[in-house]
Amino acid sequence: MSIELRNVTVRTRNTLSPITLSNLNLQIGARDRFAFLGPPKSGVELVVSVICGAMAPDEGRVIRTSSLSWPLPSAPFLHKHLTFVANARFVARIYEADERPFINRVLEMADLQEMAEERVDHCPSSAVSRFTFALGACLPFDIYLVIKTKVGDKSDHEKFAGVLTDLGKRSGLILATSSTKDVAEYCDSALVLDPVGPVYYDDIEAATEHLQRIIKRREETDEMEFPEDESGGQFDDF
Amino acid sequence: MLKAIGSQINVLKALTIHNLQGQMKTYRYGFAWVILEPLFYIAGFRMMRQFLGGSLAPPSGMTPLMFYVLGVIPLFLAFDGLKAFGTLAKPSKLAALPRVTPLDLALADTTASFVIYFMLFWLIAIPVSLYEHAWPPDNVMALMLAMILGWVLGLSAGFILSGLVRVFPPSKQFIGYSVFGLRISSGLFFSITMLPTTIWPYLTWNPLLHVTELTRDAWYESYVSPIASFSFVIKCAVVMMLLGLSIERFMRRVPAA
Repeated sequence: MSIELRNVTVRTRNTLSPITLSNLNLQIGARDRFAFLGPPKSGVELVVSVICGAMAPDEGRVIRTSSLSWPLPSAPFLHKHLTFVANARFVARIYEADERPFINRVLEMADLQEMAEERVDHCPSSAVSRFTFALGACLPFDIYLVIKTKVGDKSDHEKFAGVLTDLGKRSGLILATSSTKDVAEYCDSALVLDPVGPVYYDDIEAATEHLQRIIKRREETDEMEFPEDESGGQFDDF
Repeated sequence: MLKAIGSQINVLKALTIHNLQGQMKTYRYGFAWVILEPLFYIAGFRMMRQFLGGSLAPPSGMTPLMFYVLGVIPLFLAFDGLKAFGTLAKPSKLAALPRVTPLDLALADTTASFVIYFMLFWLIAIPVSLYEHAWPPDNVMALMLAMILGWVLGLSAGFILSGLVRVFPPSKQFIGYSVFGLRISSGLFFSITMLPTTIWPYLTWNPLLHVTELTRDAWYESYVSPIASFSFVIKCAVVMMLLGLSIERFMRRVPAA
């Protein structure tokens, strides 16, 4: 029961600065708490797309023998003109869950009992964020794929951090992030997406140090390419 | 194995309902247009016949309005199946769900269209045929089979074209022109007996013409199509479906342009 990446090569297209990830070999077990760690625009989203099947790798294979959630708490497939209940029913149908108990659990976790029959686009984004996270968290996946740990308003963060910790205890967790704090809190191992080549770490502290080195290196390169303007950012008026 | 197939059918069912709900979002301009478009065609051909007289008159025994209903709606079914190429060529937000494959999305999309046009067919055909005293259809099973085969042909052609659209998106324009030509030559407003026999060999290669001939043959007891062949349509559908599925599978790894 695992997610295995075998000789996976993938690259972005139609972008100004394409990102290429070459020859990724990795096995994530159903009880692992694993992180894809990289600075912004390092290919973390790319790996997430390949793992959940939204994108086929250019080369190699992704072998899924465990059930995997979609990237939580995103849910781009929601029909915003429908109610929370109708959207939850769609997910229940896809994952063959008992509709009524599932919908009740989702509404309870997301604290949306009073807004259950409201159209999604008529509700605040924090409510939608709680709902989309609860949709995935209330389904029994072997591995949960998480791309954002802050769910809902500030007042909700603590509650959903607790839910995420529980999920990590009873199932596997894959966290795709650039936040060293989140990785230290939820994960035991990580793959750091360094532009030179991905590096696997069993030690989270070493992984976060590696990420900080990448960020520093990137800042230095940016400074060399775009030196600070001596005129204080004022441009000549042509 | 059977459990996996059952699960995939449930996924298809859920996606089809999701798709239908999405079409209702734009009810005023989208869903309503689905109903109005074939009605415009039927009314347009009926009016053309009024002006042109005998040259567009259906063969004896076939009533004028029902003749066009049987030409227009089965072809709409087929050409809506063709739209699968668009679903396969462009990435969908639903693909983020690991249970959902692009093939599921294309099937669900076209199944939703099939459901709409199939319902629409009966909604229009029953009152029109009662009004023209052409009710009931001679062979309901043959009629339904012809319509399903038309849809399968369209879907298969969509799978085949998805490869081309994926690597060369402007080809969508050419597909649009070809669909127009194919629509006109597939018996939308004529039956084969209205044309000179010298051009029959050139037209009968088109399986969609067989589909419209089969639907008219199945509805009217008095009309026996001289060219309609179920076996030809089934053979075309099987070959095209196998080719389409092979192309879809091959193109999965080919990046979209």
